[in-house]
Amino acid sequence: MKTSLPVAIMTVIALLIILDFFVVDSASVQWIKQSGLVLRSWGIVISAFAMGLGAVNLLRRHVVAISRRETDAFYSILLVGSMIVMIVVGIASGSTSPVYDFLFSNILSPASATMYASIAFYIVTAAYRSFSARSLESWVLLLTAVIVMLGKAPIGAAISGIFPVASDWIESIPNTAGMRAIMMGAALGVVSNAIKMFLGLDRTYLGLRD
Amino acid sequence: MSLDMGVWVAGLVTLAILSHVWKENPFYRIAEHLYVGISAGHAVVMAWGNIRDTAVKPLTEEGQFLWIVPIVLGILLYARYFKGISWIARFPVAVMVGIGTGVAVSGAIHGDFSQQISATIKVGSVNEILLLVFVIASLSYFFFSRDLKGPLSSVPQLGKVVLMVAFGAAFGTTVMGRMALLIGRIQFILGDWLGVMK
Amino acid sequence: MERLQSIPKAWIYLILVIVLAGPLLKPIGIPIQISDGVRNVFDAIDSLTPGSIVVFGFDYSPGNAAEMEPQALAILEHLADKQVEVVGISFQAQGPQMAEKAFANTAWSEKEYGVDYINLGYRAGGQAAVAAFANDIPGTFSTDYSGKPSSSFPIMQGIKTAADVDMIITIAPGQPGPEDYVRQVYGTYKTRIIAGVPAVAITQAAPYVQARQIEGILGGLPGAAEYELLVEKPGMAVAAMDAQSLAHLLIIILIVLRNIPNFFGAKEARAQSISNSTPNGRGGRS
Repeated sequence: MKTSLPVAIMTVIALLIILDFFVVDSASVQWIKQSGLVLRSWGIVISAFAMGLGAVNLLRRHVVAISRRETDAFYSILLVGSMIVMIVVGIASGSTSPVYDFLFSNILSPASATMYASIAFYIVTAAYRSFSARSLESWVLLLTAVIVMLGKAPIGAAISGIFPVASDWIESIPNTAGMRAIMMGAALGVVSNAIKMFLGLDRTYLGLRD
Repeated sequence: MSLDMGVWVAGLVTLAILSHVWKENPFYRIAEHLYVGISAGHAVVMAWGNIRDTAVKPLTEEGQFLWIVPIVLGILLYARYFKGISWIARFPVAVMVGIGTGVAVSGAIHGDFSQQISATIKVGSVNEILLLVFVIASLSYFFFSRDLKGPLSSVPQLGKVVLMVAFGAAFGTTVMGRMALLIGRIQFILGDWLGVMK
Repeated sequence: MERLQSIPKAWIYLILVIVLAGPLLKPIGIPIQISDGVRNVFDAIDSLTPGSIVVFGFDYSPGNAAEMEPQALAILEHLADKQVEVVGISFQAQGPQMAEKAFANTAWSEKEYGVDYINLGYRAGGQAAVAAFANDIPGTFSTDYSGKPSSSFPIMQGIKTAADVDMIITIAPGQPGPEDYVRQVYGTYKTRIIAGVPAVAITQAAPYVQARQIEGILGGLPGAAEYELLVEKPGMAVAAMDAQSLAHLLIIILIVLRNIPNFFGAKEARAQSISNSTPNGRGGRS
């Protein structure tokens, strides 16, 4: 019951939603449409509850670090403290309140933006150190990258009108073909994985290793 | 130079995070932990807003009792923290995965598969013929069941080159995106904070 | 020559900062050409008649706002000019704040909330939430971002499903993103979709554009810059283009430096590659 019932529930719900997507709306299948509608809206609520799991995991880890007075406990206090302040302010006075907005706009936003931006430094050194072309394929890759980099920024057109044209062609023909092949493969992967899950062959989502 | 306290806080946070590129240091770690704490707090606030507006309000204010089901299922997710009853969390996970799988399968079959095939086989111009040939070649490269022999073996070879062009384009655009993000930060430091940008 | 092959990391970082900051302090003014793709997006939005309902997906967060926000602002300016009605939604937890900021910093701040535009906030669940939205907009977004019932706002009257929406514009750096709107909305309702994607996602969005599931995309900061010019409101993206150009040039120079020795040995490399390219030697399966 602990395993087979969840698998059965998962399968019935998934099949119902798939059916809902493909059946044409008519009075006889109204119950399918209605179930699909209800289930998807439940999905939002359960997903919202699931978002709390991450916060609980973080709290557990850092509260333990604080209670054990580990060397990095100071940072854990900062993390737990800022999380609690954000939650209390957000729930008590709303996420549009000035304090909430201050923390969001002046700490979360610049920190997050700078984390992503830092990758630029690594990508430059990687380009310099690692992108060594030694075969026909890697030359093709690098040459395409160079054409696209020139074609996509104003500098390309300033050098020669051919770069934006070539870059657009690359994007819309060979790139589209390659990406489409990958996409179609991935779509088949989604379907075959779903079938494995319906048959109970893949139960990793329940935390079980088969 | 800005006189806004918020801009100064944001500027110092930016420098603290940026300093990690050079070396891990206490300023970075302070900013990092504040960031993680605030992000997690924000996620909880947004999640609570979803639960309150989507389920709790219709339940309490309009008497739509069916909303009890997802609320109970959501709470059961937390059974995983209690030894002995942690298996109960499998039920809400099963419901969530069922919904996710149903939505993903139907969307993928339609949007990523059948509609892609119809777009590929509509052939009129030279470019569309090339696209069809390139798609077939790329797909043949992923055809692992049997090795193609003879003149046909050049088809997956062409597919490999097409895929390399696609990856090269992806590399080029990745560089482009990463640079844009760093430019954004420099614009903030020089413009909003120091006020020296034209 | 060998020295150029072993520039220390710190020097490369410094050069990068100079290359990016230099043109921001002293712009060069490299002319920006409008690409066909961006013009398509402009024409599509320009075809909207006053009063059309546009759902605007603020599906980005501060982490990628440097690329995404200029796109959102430029398109919002165009929409304000077209006098359409904008319903702001988000499937990304930090999106509602982005929406608040974007409405406040564009011509929408002059318009009436709840009548001309609205911010319906965030819904969890990723692609499943997009599917829920498509089939039941007032049910999925039963309240606006501040928690007031969405049905109490005039703008929401008559909007039930994605079929009642004239166009969906999503500014999305990841998932849920344009592909999820294609899968869950376009498939069933054929609603017109325009997407603003980060540079990284241009190549992945291309097949959907070719299949006409997405009518057009703005790609990365250059896409935003071109759009800023089309709506005659040059902003952060236009200001960044010189730096963007020089950054690309820097990377290309570094790649060339790295590959000079390989280039001279290219013939040899090619010969080797061909000999490795027998069916058994195909990458990943041998």
